[in-house]
Order: sequence, then C-alpha cells, then structure tokens
Amino acid sequence: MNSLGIRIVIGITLIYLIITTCSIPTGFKPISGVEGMLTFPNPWPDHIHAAALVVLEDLELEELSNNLITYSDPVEAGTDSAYYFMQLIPGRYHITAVGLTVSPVLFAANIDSFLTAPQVPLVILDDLQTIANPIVIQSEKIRIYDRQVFFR
Amino acid sequence: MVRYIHKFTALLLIITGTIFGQDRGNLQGTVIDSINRNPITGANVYVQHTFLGSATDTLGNFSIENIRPGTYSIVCSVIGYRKEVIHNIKINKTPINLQFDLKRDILAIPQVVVTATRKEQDILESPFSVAVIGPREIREKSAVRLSEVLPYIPGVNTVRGQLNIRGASGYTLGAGSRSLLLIDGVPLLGSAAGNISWTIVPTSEIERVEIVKSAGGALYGSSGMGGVMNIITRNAPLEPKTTIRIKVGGYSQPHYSQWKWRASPGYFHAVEITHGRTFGTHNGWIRMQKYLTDGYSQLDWEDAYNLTGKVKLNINSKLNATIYGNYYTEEVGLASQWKSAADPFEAPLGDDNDHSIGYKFHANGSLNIILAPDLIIKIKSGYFDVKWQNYGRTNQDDSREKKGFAEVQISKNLSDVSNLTSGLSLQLADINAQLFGKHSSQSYAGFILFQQKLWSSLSVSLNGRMENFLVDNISLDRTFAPQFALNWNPAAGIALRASIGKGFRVPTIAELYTRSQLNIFRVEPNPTLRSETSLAYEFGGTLRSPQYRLLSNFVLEGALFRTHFKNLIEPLPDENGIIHFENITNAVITGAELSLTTGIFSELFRFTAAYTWLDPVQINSSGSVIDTLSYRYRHHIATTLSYRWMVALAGVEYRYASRIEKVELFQMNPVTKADKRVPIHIWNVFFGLQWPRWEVLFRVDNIFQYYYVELERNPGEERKFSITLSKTF
Repeated sequence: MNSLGIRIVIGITLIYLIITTCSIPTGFKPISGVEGMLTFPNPWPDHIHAAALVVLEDLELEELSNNLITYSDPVEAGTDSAYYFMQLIPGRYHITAVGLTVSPVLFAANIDSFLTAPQVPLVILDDLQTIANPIVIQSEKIRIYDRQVFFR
Repeated sequence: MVRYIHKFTALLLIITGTIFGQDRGNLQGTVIDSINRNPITGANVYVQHTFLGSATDTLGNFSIENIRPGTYSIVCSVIGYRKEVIHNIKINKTPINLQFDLKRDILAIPQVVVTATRKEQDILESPFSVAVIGPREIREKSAVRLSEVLPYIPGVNTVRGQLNIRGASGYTLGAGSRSLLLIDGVPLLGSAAGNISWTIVPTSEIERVEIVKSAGGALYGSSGMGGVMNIITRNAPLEPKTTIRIKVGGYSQPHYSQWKWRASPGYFHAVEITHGRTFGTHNGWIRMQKYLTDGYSQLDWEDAYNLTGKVKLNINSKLNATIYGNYYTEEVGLASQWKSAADPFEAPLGDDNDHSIGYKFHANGSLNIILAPDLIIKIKSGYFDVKWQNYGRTNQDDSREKKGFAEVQISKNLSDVSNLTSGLSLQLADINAQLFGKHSSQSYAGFILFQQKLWSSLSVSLNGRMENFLVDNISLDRTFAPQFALNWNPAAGIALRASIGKGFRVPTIAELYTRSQLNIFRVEPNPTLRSETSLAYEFGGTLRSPQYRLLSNFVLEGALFRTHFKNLIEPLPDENGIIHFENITNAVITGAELSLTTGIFSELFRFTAAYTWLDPVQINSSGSVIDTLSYRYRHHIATTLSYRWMVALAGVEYRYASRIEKVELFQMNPVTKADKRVPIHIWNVFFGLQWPRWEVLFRVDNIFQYYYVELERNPGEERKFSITLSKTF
C-alpha cells in the first residue's frame, strides 16, 4: 500500500473513532432517595388493606394532594416486614406511614381523584412528633431509613 | 382430515411428476481444494439464472442434467472457500466436463442460502430479504450464545434474549415468539411457550445463520409469521481435527460505588472441546461445553453443560442422512427485576437464592434422496424434550414438554426455469406443567412453493401453506397463508425484490393457560385468545460488487416493509396489575433498513453499518394511530470497523438503540412516574492473532460502562473483559 493509501486508512480510522466516541453518554446514573425495611410488630386491623410510606413536602396533612411527593409500593395487610425504596431529589422531606382503607390497586388506579376527594381513603399511622422530624436527602445518596409501624 | 391429506399428496405427486422432455445437455465435473487437491464434499454447483444445480458427493463429483442448450455461467460455492464462477459454458448435446479449483477463505461471505425458498439458491436470486451471519461475525464476537451476535445484524434485535425480527415480537415474557428458530431446518421452539432456547445452540459449530426477514407464514407456518432464523451447523472436516477453545473473563465492578454489591468482580469461563473426523464416506463431530458465569447482576449466574453431536452419512451419491443431537443441563439464577433503582444489580430482598434447574434434549434427523437429477425428496424429523423446576421465594413452577416433528418435502425442477417444492409437516406436543396444566397440541400442514423465471433476470414465486391446529384435540384454527414474490436482477450484482404475504400465529399454550407468579408478576390465563394474522409487504434491493476502486466485496442492501397485524397477542396488565395475554385489534409496523458491508484496501479493513427504523403502532378500525406498540426500538444502528493484517486482527463495534417508547409489564410509581429507560450506546473493542491452528482474541464489551435497561427494572450487561484461546490439533 502506498503512502496515500496509508493516509486514507488512518484518516478513515480517525473519523470513525471521532464520530463514535465524541461526547460518550453514560446512561442512567445513581439516584438519590430513601430505602429501608418497614416492619409491622402488631396485628393488622381489619379496616386497613395495605400500608405505605408517603413523602410530604411539609406538615400540612389536610392538603395531602398538594404536599404529596411520592409514596412507597404498598405493603399488603398481614405482612410482617417489607423492603421499600423511594426515589427523591435532594432536599428535606417529612415521611409518614399511612394505612389504605381501600385496595392498593384501586388506590393506585384512581389516585388523582382520591387525593382531591373530601374523604381521602388513608389513615395516618404515625404520631405528629415522628412526622415532624424531617429527613435530608443528598445528591446521588440513598438514605437508609428503617421504620417500625404500629397500628393504633 | 386424513382424506384431505391423501388428496393433497396425490395432487403434489401428479404435479411434481410432470416431466418436460427436450434435447438437453449434461454437465459434470469435480470440485477440489486448490492447495492439497483433495475433493470437496457438499459444494453447491449451479447454473446461474436457472434452478438447475447439484451438490458434490464425497469424491467431489457433481452432475447436472437436462440443461436446455445455450450459453451459461456455472457457479460453485461452499463455506470456507471463495465462490468461483466459470463463464461462457456452451451447453449442447455433448456432455461438458468442468473442474473447480477452489481457494480457501474461512471468512468468505456465504452467498448461497437455503431457507428463503427451502432449496439452495444464490442470495441475489432470493425473492425475500435474507441476512446471513457468517463465520467471521461469530468468530469476532467470540460468542458463547448466538444472541450476543444478533443485535449487530440489520433488522434483527433482542429484548432480554427474545428474538425480534423487524420488531415483530416485542417482549412477551418468553411466552410466544413471532420469529421461528430452526436448526438445520427443524423447528427449535419450545412446544408450550414457543420461546427460543439460545442455550442449546452450539455457537462454535455453526456454518452460517440465515435470517429470512420477510414476514409471512407461507414458508414455515405459525411461528414464522415475523421471520425465520435457520442455524446451519457445519459438517466435520475431511481430516481428523480436535479443537479446544477456552474463553475466560470477568465483569467490571459498577462504575458508581453506590451500586457495588459484591466484594470482587464477577468471573465467567466457557470450555469447549470438539472432535470431528471422517469414517469411510461418512463424517461426524462431537462437542462438549462447560459454561460457568457469576453474572453481571446477582441473579444472572449460570452453570451449564452442553453435549452436541452430528453425524452425516453419505450412503451413496444419491442418498445421504444427517443425525444431530444435543443435551443441555443448567442451573441458573431466576431473575425477575432489580431490588430497586438505587441497587440495580441486586436481587429483590429475599429472592437472592431464586434459581431454576432443568435440562433440554433435542435430536433431529434428515434424509435427502436424489430420485433424479431434478427430483429431490427431503425427510426431516425432530424430537424435543424440556424439563425445568423453579426454586423461588414466590415461584415453585415446573414444566415438562415433549414435542415431535416430521416433514416430507419434494422438490422438482419442472424445467430449467421453473421449480416446484411441496410437502407435508406434522407437529405433536405434550405438556405437563404446574403453570400451564396438562395439555396437548397438534398441527398438520401442507405447503407448496412454485418459482418460475419469466426471463433470465425476473422470477416470480407463488407460495402457500395450509395449516390446522388442535389444542387438547379441539381445532383451534385452520388457516391458509398465501405469498407472492418477485425477484429481478437487472444487471450483474443487482437484485430488486418485492413480496406480499399473509401470516398467522396461533396462541401458544403458555399464552392461553399460564397461571403463575414471580415476584411482582402475576399472570392469569386467557383461554379465549384468538389466532393473530398479518399481511406483510416488502420492497428491497441489493447491490453487490466484488471490486470497486478501493472497496472489495461491497454489499449495499435496503428494504422498506410494512406489516398489518390483526388480533396481535400482547401481554397486558389489567386494572389490578394482573397480566393477561390479549388480542390487540389492529397494529401496524412500518419500517426501513439500510446496510452496507465492504472491504477496504483488499480486505485490510472491513466496515459494516446497518440502520433500522421502525414505526410500531396500534391503530383503530379507521386506521388512526391510538398508541405505540411496546418493547420496540424506533431507531437502531450497528457498525463495525475491523482490521486484518497477516495474522493480526482488531476492531471497534458500536450499537445504538433509541429509548423504548412504551413498556407494559411494570407499573410505574403513579406520582413520580419514575423510569430508567434510556437510549442504548454500546462500544466494544477486540484484537487478536489468528494462525491456522492457534487463535487468541481479546475483547472488551461495553467498554465505556454504559448503563441501560432493555426491559424496565432489569439492567443491561456491565462492561466485561474476555480472552479466548483456541488450539486445533
């Protein structure tokens, strides 16, 4: 191969490498949030179909729909313990355990209407002192937060 | 039904028995290796632009009779050698004797295909789009599983191991595939679930893989409505040969410390020993493989043994038989989803020990009888036995499936320019599974393929298949699938093709009867499912040039396609999150693909690039788009640039797939709508040395540690390093 050929080969190779390696994306990255174990030491009352943790922006429990950030996968009645995880952007949050008085699937399917209804099918399971302590979520960090939930 | 089969068989024999007599010429000769002068067995010799052809016997002899007088080009092709063409052969009453001295080229691109029309045919004369994976692609990928090679083939993709040809299948929890897998022409789909078992494919012993991408059911029936992949295993070499191949490697620890889940990186190895030899006029090989991997995620581990063998009996020049068998046993992690987006490589809490133990046994045989130079009968049969048992926290399912297959095919050249292939096919299956119940299924089919060359450059194909399905002895469906196709070769190296065909697929027993739970997945049966049907159109073209300036073996291919599905079966969660397989009324997949393969500077470099575009949508009765079909990539690009000089090789691969636009199976958090779907960008590099008896290849896959999900809540493969050593004695 002559020198022109070699130059063309090197040129094609460089162009190919430049095209394919420019601004290499990294895909999905670590997230921030909270995870832990939910344990239920007491027997489940009959009127509660499931329990979950909800993350609130502030302590105004009456305006749940405006304050709700997210909630964990509901834990079905009768469960002793379950792992939970919630993705959150960095910030300060209040977390409380709630009991669902309707089926969790029904709740998930109609969440928008339930949250704006006058009678939300939820009961708060924590006392106000527990809820009042905010947790802080840092960037790309997972906060471990194990919770025991007592039915009152 | 039996009465109809008898009538149909009689009709086929009458049609195929038709003989056209004229003053014809004969052609005979030998095919030998240009270096050691040994005869080459199984080489395809054919008269270009006709259906006349023959394969060489064990002495390298061939004979083609009844050729209409004229001037022809005679083509000789066989895997492992460069294709040779002898031009301007004048055929008249005087017999012609030819000798082909073939030059070795283990990386030669296969140019004769058998799957598209059920007989050997030059790929440029195929009326359907066919992609071929040759030895080069498989060796450069150093693949343990064939599914590792597929995402780099135009129009082909996998979603968590499920084969997708032009987006036909999506992801169905492995319960039903619209793409049929054949091994040496015998179906390899599980009888109950209809899913593909990549584990039993002996990747190192593959001669080539042919992928017929044109949709339709006329060629291979129900499961082939979205395309067909035929794995053609190699025959044993003429001289005794033993090959030991060892692949060892490891996975990187996750790039982000938050995701680290084990103290040391995962490790894997595959050890294979293959011995092949001839005995008399016959030949055979046997292969043993052990594969062990820790996996890149907690439940991705696998511990497997595979024993495969093939014997080819060349009984005489008119009769040969092949027997193939495979036994595979495995213990694998039973993965369903990640622990959470915060710990994507860990199993859900309590599922750490979920695993599955099982075996697969597959045997097939074929008998080829040349009754006359233009009349060939092929008889194929197969037996498939699968058993597995899950040991999971939420799932203890088990399954035992047995399937039998038999097919008789008659191929007759009615004249130099017309060919008729027809046959009967039978499949019986018996399933006893905790998740399906106890069921049986049968299918009976008759098929006919007619090809006629209108002029030397234009051929027309008319195909049809009638199939009757029974589940538990009750007829589920009876369908006729016709297909019409054209192929035009306006100039040497140029082919244009167009086809229209109806396809159909009956629901699998898994789609009808599965009742199971694995972690959060809960699947309920839907015995009211109906068969799905399709109408597929395709227009495509190929440009091949052996040499153009600095380019060599240049192949440019393009295709436009559209498939209209009715009653498409998809897994859909109901309002309670329970998954049922349901018929979607109407769906359309429109797409285009463009691929380029070329050598540069006398094959010093080889460049391939393939782009596939899909528009998969669900439509209403008036044709308006109402939704996107799930688990399909809209854009897909795969490129490879490889370099070979003397014994050295090196290369870079890049693959891009756009973000999957719609997913079905996992319910997102309704408040945050949290989702980790991203486009896929994967770069791989490899370099190695290849001598005739030694080979070493070093690969890094996903070199930039790109993190993605193919299926939501299931991360894609981590960066992995591997070194493959191969020694032949």
